[in-house]
Amino acid sequence: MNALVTRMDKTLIRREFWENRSLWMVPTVVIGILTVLSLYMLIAVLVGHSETVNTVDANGIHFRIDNLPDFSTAAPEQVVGFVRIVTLALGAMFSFIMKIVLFFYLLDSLYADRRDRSILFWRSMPVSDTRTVLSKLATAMLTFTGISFAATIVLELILLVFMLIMGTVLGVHPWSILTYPGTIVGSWLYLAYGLIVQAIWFLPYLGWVMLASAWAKKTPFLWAVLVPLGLMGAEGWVFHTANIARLVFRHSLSWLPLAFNFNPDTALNKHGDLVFTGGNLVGFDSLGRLLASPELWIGTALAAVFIYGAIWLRRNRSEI
Amino acid sequence: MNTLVKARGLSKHYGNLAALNRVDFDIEEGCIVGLIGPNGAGKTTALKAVLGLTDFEGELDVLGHDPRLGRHHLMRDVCFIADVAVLPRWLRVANAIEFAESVHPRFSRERAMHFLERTKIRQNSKVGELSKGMVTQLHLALVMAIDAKLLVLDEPTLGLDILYRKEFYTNLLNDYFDEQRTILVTTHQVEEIEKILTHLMFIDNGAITLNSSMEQVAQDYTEVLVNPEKAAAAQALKPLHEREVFGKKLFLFEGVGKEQLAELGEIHTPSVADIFVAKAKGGMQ
Repeated sequence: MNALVTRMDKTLIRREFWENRSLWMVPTVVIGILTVLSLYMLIAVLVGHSETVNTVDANGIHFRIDNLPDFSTAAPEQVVGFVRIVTLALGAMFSFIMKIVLFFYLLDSLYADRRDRSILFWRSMPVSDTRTVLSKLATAMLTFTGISFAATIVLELILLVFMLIMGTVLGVHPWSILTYPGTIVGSWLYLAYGLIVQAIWFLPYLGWVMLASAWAKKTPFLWAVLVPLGLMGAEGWVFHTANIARLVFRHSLSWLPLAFNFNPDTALNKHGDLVFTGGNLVGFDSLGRLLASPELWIGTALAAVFIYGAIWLRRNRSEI
Repeated sequence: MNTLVKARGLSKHYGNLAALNRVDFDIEEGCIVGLIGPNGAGKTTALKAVLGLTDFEGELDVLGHDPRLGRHHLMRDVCFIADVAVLPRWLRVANAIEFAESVHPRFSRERAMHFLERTKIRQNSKVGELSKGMVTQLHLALVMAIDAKLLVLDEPTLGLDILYRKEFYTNLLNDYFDEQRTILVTTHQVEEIEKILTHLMFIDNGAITLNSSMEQVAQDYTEVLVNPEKAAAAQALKPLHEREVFGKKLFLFEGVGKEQLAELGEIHTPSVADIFVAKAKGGMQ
């Protein structure tokens, strides 16, 4: 019973997946669609119509198939950079998709069972409201890191197989990519790190949406969205400033240069393409910078306030 | 006998309206208590207070717990069916059992399976695919599989057809109830539960107007069918309520000796519904 995570907690988290199939269905469907599209491309290349599907647009990053580097002659740094771009671009795509999925999951998390009155069944079980709310938060964080990570790796491995076949056909010696065994796995470690950092960094947003979900008597979406927009509007109207908006939007991006040795100003080359070099993206310097950032701690403290509020509402004001 | 629930000066206000006004009552172990009252009388508020689902003023002890603190501790010993169809539509039967088994230390999978075997409910069905009656059967099976000391039922058969309603109480009585268990039930369909109750509690306008055992009720309340010529004699004994039936007068008395009343006419034990109506009208006069 005193273990940090009990059988009860595991069941509470599984309960969330029974109810919210979209948590794993959406990334699965995305993998399916992209696999089919890539397969179509592969077939096109194999039958000699590569020029028709020459450019792939994945989350704003353009790959020209005939511009694939010749891996046998490329510098190791180039290969490492290439693998990282693929991993982190796919990771960015899945983390973006999961943010949308989890926004809707959290909006419903403390509202749906009040609307259909099944809350009376859940609350007839010896599970505290704190535990229930935290299990939903944990589900969101685990889903964001775990499912984004797994989906990225699965899709990347599928694409890698396709690329090996395609690259062989195009004669760019792709098999040499496998002679850098640390490259792919190393890029996955960066991915995992980036996802964990975001799961913590975005806690105030998660907490806010849960608070709206616990508060709303109807349409938690409007509470979650209109209250911040209203505050921004009021600030603009009264003070003619946009500090809240700037804060919210800045916070959604400011983790990146803190957590990674990544400078957005030099990350784009003169053609406007994203380039990664082989240097260390993460080190003690970046980790120290992240942990020393007041933004991380203020955000986490704010999240604690929101989540405490959600628990309080769940316990004391759960009737619609 | 153990007292499971002890309320002293229990009050609950919604704005200026007193849903419960300094109510005192005890519920003893091994009883089936019917809490009867019109809509808005405070029944549901009283149940919610007992279950830790609402805040209140006054003292309330439920199995040694203050229900306002730590509902989840209380729920190990108390279970409830709050209304029909509160199981979520997406929930599968097998998942509901799995959930209860791993969060409730007193839940028995064997018992739940035993109860479900007698129904048409299948393990892989979703609640949304079941009829209203089946959802209630499932909920009852889940609740009866919990070895709880106190079971609270708030209108458990509302909206069910008569077959399911009968079966609900039969199952409850035959498979669940024993001397160690206590049931607190509210319903509009008093006649359905009157035969199984051991205790009766009337609640009206936030106050308890009657609280006694069914034996005591049968002793205290008598209905007499009186010919018109003796009506004046009956009225002199201050009946609680009178009405006309087939040219005769039917009087309901509280606390008047049965021998005395037998001289006036044919005596019966009144139904709970009749006593309730008489008490409610008495209160209004």
